[in-house]
Amino acid sequence: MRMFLMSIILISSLALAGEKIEVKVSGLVCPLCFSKVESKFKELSQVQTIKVEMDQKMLILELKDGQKLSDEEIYKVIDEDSGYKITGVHRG
Amino acid sequence: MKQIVVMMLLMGCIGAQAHPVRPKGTISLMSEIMEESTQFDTIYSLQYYWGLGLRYHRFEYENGESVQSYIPMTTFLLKRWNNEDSQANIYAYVGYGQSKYDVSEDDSGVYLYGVQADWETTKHFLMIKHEYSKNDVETLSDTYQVRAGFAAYPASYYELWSWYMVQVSQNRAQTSQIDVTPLMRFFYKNVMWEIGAPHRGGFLINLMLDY
Repeated sequence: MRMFLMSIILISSLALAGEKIEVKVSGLVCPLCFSKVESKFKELSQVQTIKVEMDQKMLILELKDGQKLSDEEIYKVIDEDSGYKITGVHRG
Repeated sequence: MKQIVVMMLLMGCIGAQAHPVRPKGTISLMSEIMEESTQFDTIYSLQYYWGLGLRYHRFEYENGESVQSYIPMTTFLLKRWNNEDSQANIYAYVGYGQSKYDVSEDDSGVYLYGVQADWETTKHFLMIKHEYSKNDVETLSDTYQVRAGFAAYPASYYELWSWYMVQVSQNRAQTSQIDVTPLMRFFYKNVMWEIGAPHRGGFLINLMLDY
């Protein structure tokens, strides 16, 4: 019974967790640059949390439950006017 | 954060060192405080390649007299190379304003221009810069500067990040001597500050806030 309940809790938590999106950006080399990009992503209503991985030149976005964020919306945040360039978007 | 900015503005300590243009919409507050000079820059980046700003500069001569300049200026990113692990930039800036000596009632026009190139990774930093400013009376600055540095340790975005740097500079308009300044640079998210000790004495304090 205990195993069954734990399985239900585990499956439920996995199902409720928001989607994680890894955004790799070239040209980001200092915290000041990351801070600016981080604040731009924070403006998106779909985003729950943002983790900055400076050594990998990457931001990991965790979306709110049930929310979606398209590649097009991500590329709008870091567009040509930002001065940086997205080199990859991976969804996990 | 806003309280810190307001406090700094009230203290009058906002001026320059680092990137003259930042991502679109960024307000950069930069200061450079040395024994004989004080400089505060405020720059608003209209585009990632174009900014408008205001410089305040005060230089104190050995005899105790001083000259102050207020210079509206515009800054440009001329070229950027975004690579996977590095970024390189070429910047330029020009300005025209007023300068005033403390021993004179008259204002004098003053112009300023500068070019800067830098290359940086998350471990290394290199910068060269030339700046020239002249008023109706004299050349105030004809400065050549080189900087090199490296990160003291790998840090995450959420930690204080320290860098060791050396700055070599000469203001040919004011002295024939070359200043060598070992300094430490610190980052914490959107704040960067530097503390250095020129070999001829005095101190160097730089502060940069992005918001």
